Amino acid sequence: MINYYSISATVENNLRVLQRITCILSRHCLNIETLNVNSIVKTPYSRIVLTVYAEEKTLEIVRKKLRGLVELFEISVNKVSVEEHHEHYAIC
Amino acid sequence: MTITGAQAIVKALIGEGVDLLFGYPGGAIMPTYDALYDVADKLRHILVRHEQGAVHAAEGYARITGKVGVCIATSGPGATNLITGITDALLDSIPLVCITGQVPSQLLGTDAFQEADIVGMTLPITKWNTLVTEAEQIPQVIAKAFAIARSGRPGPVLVDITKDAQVASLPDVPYKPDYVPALRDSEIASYRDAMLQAGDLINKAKKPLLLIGHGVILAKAQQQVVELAQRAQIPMACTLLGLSAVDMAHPLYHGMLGMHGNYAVNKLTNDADLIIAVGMRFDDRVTGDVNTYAKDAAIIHIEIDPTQINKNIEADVALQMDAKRALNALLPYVKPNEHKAWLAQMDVCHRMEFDQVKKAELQPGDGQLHMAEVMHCLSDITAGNAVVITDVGQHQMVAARYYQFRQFNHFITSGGLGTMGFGLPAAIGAALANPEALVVAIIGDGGFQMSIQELAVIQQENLNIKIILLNNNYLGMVRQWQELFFDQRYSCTALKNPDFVTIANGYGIKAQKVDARKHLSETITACVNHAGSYLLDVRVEQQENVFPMIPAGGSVSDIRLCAQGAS
Repeated sequence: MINYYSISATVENNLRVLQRITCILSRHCLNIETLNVNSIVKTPYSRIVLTVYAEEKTLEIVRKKLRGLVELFEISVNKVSVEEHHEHYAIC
Repeated sequence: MTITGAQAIVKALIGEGVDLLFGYPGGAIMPTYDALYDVADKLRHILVRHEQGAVHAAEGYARITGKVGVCIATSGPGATNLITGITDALLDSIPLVCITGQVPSQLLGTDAFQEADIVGMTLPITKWNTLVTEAEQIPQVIAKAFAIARSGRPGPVLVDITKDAQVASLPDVPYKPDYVPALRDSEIASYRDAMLQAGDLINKAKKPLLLIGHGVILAKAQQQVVELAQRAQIPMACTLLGLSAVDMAHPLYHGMLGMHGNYAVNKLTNDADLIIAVGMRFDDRVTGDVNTYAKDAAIIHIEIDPTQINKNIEADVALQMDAKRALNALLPYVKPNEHKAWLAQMDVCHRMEFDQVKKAELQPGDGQLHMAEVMHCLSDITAGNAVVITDVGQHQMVAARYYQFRQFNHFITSGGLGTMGFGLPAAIGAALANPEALVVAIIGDGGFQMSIQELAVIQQENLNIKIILLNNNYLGMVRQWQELFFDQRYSCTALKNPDFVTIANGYGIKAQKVDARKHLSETITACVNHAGSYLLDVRVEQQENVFPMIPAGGSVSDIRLCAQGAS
């Protein structure tokens, strides 16, 4: 079953990190629906928040692969409703 | 006191314990080659004839030594020629550090001569990669590269260094390999419940099957895996890359898994009530159709790479850790047991395979030589003690099936990627890693011509490699599929080959052709006993097919013993 997921990753604020993440997603044929990247003030990290439609099993593999990235500090994956996500970003 | 970036690269390599590397010079890496000139007594460089040869040779070296293999190339085409080998190393868990030169930083992105975005290209095929534009970054980046390459599930790392960074100066300080990768495998303590559960499953199983993958070799867990098999009398089977993890003469060893593996272990997978998979990833060549794979079996999966757990096959108990640590922790929970009826079932299948496949292959009577009898003869003459390297194709499967490996980690092949052209350069790496060993490269006539230029390395470095060329004037595996699945429409698989004996002689390598059964044993003996490299061009049956065979996408229990589908 396909669900809508929000992936939030804290990563080193370096070149190519976003490319590494998108590389893993596209390998699993996951299209990014929304994407937001911010550097975290006074730290060497960035936060990347993106949403994708994915099957649960595919997303679990992707989560594990993302977790294996050298530049990744922490990651969380949440199932969200499309409305919930859009509401959140409308408020932001 | 300062040194150049290039000198820092060389110093870092020596600091990491590297004493051998493979490469090919060119414009953007010339400062590093200049620095190598000064340390030739500490750091031996092997000049390959194509960069793909460098990376495969580094793979062969890494597989034998367990150390990180190192290769070096210039920017642009030099770097892109590494890509196949890097992918091969990623799929087969081989630790590599590949260093490439890059155009000067001010020319990045300008489509400069020999500029290629090799970091971008290798993002999905490396464990990690990076571009270095400042000389000061070099020591810490090299340290990080080695640490990542060898940690967890090993794999390739690429470091791309601009020419100006190689030329610029940095302070000369002692090299400190102090990068520690984040620990990804969990602590044993948190797995106590899983160990209890796994032990319980093993103790209760009536038809357990122990699958041994490359992870057992990487973790050097051969003693633990045999201990587990012996204690509970569990039949063992190896994946292609797991071959030579255990002595094939062990009474509990029952053969190879996979598309062209042995009949018993494939056929009876679906009869098993417990699969204990150690250091393997349930590759599609092993499982066949996953929807029908081992449906009656509980699965215990021991695997260091978390991305492989529950990927193809759902595990009932998953132990995400190094094979040796996991087995050491599991063994106390395993009770002595016997499975005589189950082992007898294996023996019945072995007899069927012998009667319907092996007998005809090993004792064909007349006609042209068969690959199987060549491998069987080689195995007998070398007593199963040779380091065997194969290329990819029919000969690879036949070598895997018929060479009786008696020694640990003596089989090197391209498993995951199936890279033709791998065999010869990998054999060069293996021979340099262990000059005392009898190194035998089994290669088909197709793959041989993909890296034939590396014969020059054998000549230049005076290496001792025995090349057994199984020559059927065909791309044999593709021909087999055309015969079986494409109505015998042999599209573009016939090869008009050169005289390989003359070619070998041209490189100063002794060579001989054999096509008669009565001369087979004596020519293999001459090849093996020759003091130096030797090429034996063995003319084999053109229409030979490799059986047993699981049809692509079929169930493991659909394994065929012959073309008609009888099983």
